[in-house]
Amino acid sequence: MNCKQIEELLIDHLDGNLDQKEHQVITAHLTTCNSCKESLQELQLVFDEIDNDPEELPDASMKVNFEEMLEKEKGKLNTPTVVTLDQSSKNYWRTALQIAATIALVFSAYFYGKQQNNDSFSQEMAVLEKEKVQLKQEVTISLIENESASMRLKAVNYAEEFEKPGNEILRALINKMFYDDHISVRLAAAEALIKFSDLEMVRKALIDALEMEQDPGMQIELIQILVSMQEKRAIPSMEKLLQNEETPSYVKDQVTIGLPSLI
Amino acid sequence: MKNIAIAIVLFITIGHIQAQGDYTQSLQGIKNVTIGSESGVKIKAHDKNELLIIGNGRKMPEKAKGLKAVYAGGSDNTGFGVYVQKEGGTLIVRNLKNMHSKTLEIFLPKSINIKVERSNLGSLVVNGFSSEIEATTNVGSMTFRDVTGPIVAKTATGEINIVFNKVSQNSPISLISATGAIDVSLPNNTSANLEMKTTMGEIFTDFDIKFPVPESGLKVVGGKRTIKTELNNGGVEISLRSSTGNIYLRKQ
Repeated sequence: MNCKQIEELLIDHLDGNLDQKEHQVITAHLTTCNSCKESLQELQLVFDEIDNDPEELPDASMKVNFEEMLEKEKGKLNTPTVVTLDQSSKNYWRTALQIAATIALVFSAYFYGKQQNNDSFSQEMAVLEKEKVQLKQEVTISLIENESASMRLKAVNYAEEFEKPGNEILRALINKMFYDDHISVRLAAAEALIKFSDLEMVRKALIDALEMEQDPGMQIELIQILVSMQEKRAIPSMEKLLQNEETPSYVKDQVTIGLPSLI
Repeated sequence: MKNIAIAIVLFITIGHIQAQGDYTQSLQGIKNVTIGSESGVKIKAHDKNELLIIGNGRKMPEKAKGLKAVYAGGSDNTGFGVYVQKEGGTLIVRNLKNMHSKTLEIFLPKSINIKVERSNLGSLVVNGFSSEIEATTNVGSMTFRDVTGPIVAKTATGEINIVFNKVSQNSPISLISATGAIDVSLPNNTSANLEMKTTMGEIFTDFDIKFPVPESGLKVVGGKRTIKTELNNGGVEISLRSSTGNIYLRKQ
C-alpha cells in the first residue's frame, strides 16, 4: 500500500473500523513513514476536537413558543451593530480567500497554458524537423541525378549529413560510387559511405567497388577505407590488384601498406 | 569564258573564306557546351552569345583541291574538322582531328557551362569563365585562369593549375590528379570548407590551416593524409586531391 491509500484508511483506523490485517499493515507503515504519521496526528487532533465539543442540547428557549422565538430573532436583527461587525469580519476572511483562490487559479491557468503551449510547440517542431529531413531526402535524391557533376557532389555532401539515411539514400550513394561518370563524385560517395560503414549493405558495396574500380585514385581511396574498416573480406580483391600487371605501382604500394593490418 | 571566270572567282572566294575565316554558331537557348577533343583545347570567353572557332592557319593541301576531308570520328559539318550539333539545351562540339593536330581554339560566352570530355594527350586551357566547368583529361594538363567555379576536374597524369578570381559559393569544387601536381590560387577572402589530400605527395600553402583537436579513439590509418579546414569561417566545399603529386594552395 502506498501513502495515499494509507491516508484514506486513516480515519477508519482511528475509528477502529479496520480488520486485523489492515490494521497491522497501517501500524507497520506508520512506524516507517513520517508524513503518514503526521497525517494521523492531525486527524487525531481533529477527532479529539470534535469529541471535546460539548454536545449542544436544545435549551429552554425551545420550549417557549414559536412566537417568542420569532420575537427573539427579530430582536437580534434589531441590534445591527453586532450583526454587521460579525458579518464584516466573516466577509473579510472570505474575500481574502476568494482573492487568494482567484490568484491561484490565474497562476495555475497561466502555467498550465504555458506547459500546453510548450508541448504543442515542441510537437510542431518535431513535425517540421521531420518534414525538413524528408524534403532534404527528396532534394538529395533528385539532385544526385543532376547532369552537373558539381551538383551531384553537393547532393552527396547532403546525403552525408543524414544521421540515419533511408535505404533510398544509401542505394543512391552506392550507385554513385559504382557508376558515376566523374571520379570526384565516386570518391565523394565512397567517403560519405564511410559514415554508415556499420551497415552490412554499405560494407558489401565498398568491397564490390574495389573489385570493379579501374581508376587508380579511387582504388587507393577504397583500399584506405576498407583497411580502416578492418574489412577482411576485401583481402582477395587487394591481392588481385597486387598480382595484376596493369595496376600502377603507387596503388600496389597502398595495398602493401594496408594488407598487413588486415591479416 | 566570262561565266567560267566568275565561277573561278567564286570558287576561290569560298575557298578563301573556308581557309581563313572563322566558324560561328549562335548559342540561342543553349546552356551547356560539351567539348570532346583528342588534341589540346583552348577555351576563351568573349562577349557574344555565339560559338566561335578560329580557323586561322587551316590550309587544305594542294592535292586536296576538290576533295573533302573525312574523319573517323564523324562528319565534318563545319569545314573546320569539327562536328557541331545542337541537342536540346546542349551544344556538342567534337574535334575530329587526331591527338597530334593543332590545339583547337574556341570562344564562348563567359556564362555558359562547359564540359570537356575525355581529352587524351591534349592539354586544356580555359580562360575567363564565371560558369560551371567540368573536365576530364588523361595525360594532358589543365590550366584555368580567371575563373570562379564550380569546377570539377580530373586528370590522370597531368597537372592542374587554377587561378580563381572569385570563388562561387554555389556548389562544390573538386580537383583530382592521380600523379600530377595541383596548384590553386584563391583570393585571400575566400570562404570555403577546404579538404586537401595527397597519399604520397606533400601539401604546401600560405593559408592558415586550423587543425582540429584530434578526437580520442580515432583510428590511425596508414598513409591517409587529409587536411580539413575552414577558410574565412567556412563556405563552399573545395576538395583537392592528388595520389602521388604535390598540392600547392596559394593566396593571391
